[in-house]
Amino acid sequence: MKLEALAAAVLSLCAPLMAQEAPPPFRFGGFANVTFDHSTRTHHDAFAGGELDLYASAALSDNWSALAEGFIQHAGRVEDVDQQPTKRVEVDLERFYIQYSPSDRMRLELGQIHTGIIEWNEREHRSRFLQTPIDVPAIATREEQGGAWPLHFVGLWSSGRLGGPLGVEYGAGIGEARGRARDEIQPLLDEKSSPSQLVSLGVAPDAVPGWRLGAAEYGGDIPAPEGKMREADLTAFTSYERGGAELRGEWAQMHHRRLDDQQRYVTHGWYALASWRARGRWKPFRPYVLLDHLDVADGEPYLSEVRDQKAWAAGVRWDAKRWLAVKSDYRAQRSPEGKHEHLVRLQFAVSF
Amino acid sequence: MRAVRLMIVVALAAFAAAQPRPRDSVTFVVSARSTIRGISAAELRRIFLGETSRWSNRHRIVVCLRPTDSPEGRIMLDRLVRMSDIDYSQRWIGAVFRGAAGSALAVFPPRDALLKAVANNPDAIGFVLTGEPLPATVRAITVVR
Repeated sequence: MKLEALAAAVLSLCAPLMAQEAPPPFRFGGFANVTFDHSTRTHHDAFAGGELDLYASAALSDNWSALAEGFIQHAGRVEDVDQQPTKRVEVDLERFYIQYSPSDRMRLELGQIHTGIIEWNEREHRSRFLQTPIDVPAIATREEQGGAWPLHFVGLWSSGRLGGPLGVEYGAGIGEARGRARDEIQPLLDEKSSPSQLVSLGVAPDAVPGWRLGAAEYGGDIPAPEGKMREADLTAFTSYERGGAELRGEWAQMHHRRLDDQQRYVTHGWYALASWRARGRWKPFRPYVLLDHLDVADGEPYLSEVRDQKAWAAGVRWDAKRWLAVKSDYRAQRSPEGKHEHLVRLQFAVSF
Repeated sequence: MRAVRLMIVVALAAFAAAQPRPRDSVTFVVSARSTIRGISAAELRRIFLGETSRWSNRHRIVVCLRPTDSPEGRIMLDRLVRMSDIDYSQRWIGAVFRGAAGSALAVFPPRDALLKAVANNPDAIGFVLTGEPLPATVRAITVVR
């Protein structure tokens, strides 16, 4: 019944598109990266082919558009210099949605989208080229790469920017909650599946150009093998980008409650990033410092494969070309075995 | 006496240097057919950052740029969006990738090509150096602080 109602709604909204005769204009693009790691603890080197991220968008009409994004990467790849390289390649769909956007105040997206619970993920998506540092912070790590937070869902998302000097931005969405595993999304419109909800609110005041502040909340039920769980996540972020400065910080808390025995698990993490665009002849260089922290709840069965992190990295990004960024940094982190290790890395990230 | 004269010359030169020169600023232009008369500086900034994609009449805004290494391009980067050309380029790549920006930037190396594009599209906005003559097909808009 849910399927029929949704199909009818989509078809009625799509009526103007069907009257269009000319093919819609398409735009294609992509990102790719490779990273060289050297561990000072194990003296292992690794040269990892990163991700190839491809996307296509189509302006179907003035109000309608569609976007598809997929990626190719080595299966099981994590940010770990000691992991054995694998030749198995994974191809997956990242985002696929149709968008109705009659104004800046309202943008509706239907399909597989990012939840927006983590601002980093909402802003950079998968691209290493767009982000300043080499690493994705632990709270923004993708589910299939060992991340804890639900970054994807299938459903409907509405967002927009209200007018006024405060620059209020909002978002609200409903979709399918997480599946039995962390990187699994429940089948859309399955009678047994449970919905997840997400709301976000932010401000970008005219009085302080470049500053943003916001918070988001996600809730849903998880059909975990260890027993059904109720999830409630809360995140808050702030950022300031102006005159070459980039200051960003985000805090996230994930609360899981097992319904059988009311056992509670609280996981939290945060990151802080500071970078500065050099001036004059040094303009292509952007030095940065990243602090990254993740504390997984003890004994949390659903996040058993997610590891704690307490890391910092200092490095520089060199925008050698408009399409090529070369990044190098020194990183201190906790290894998969829980030992402290230091890495020296070099990353090439391209946009095309 | 010579020292006094030199001091006056230096003072006049310093005064002249302190005055805003027409070619140190840009004028934002729309088509003569556009209904847009004025705009706030904050809204203008959001338009050129890709955060605002529609006019108040809900028509999609077409942003027309001069190259970022041109004098007017540099002024726009330094005074309006306050970021380097590298960061500006990456910001627009991100806006299109996120699905937030309606279209990619349209860059016009020749000034006349930009004026022609703006004149032909009532939803377009561009900029030229202040003081340069404008054809009757485009109109300067007032920027309110």
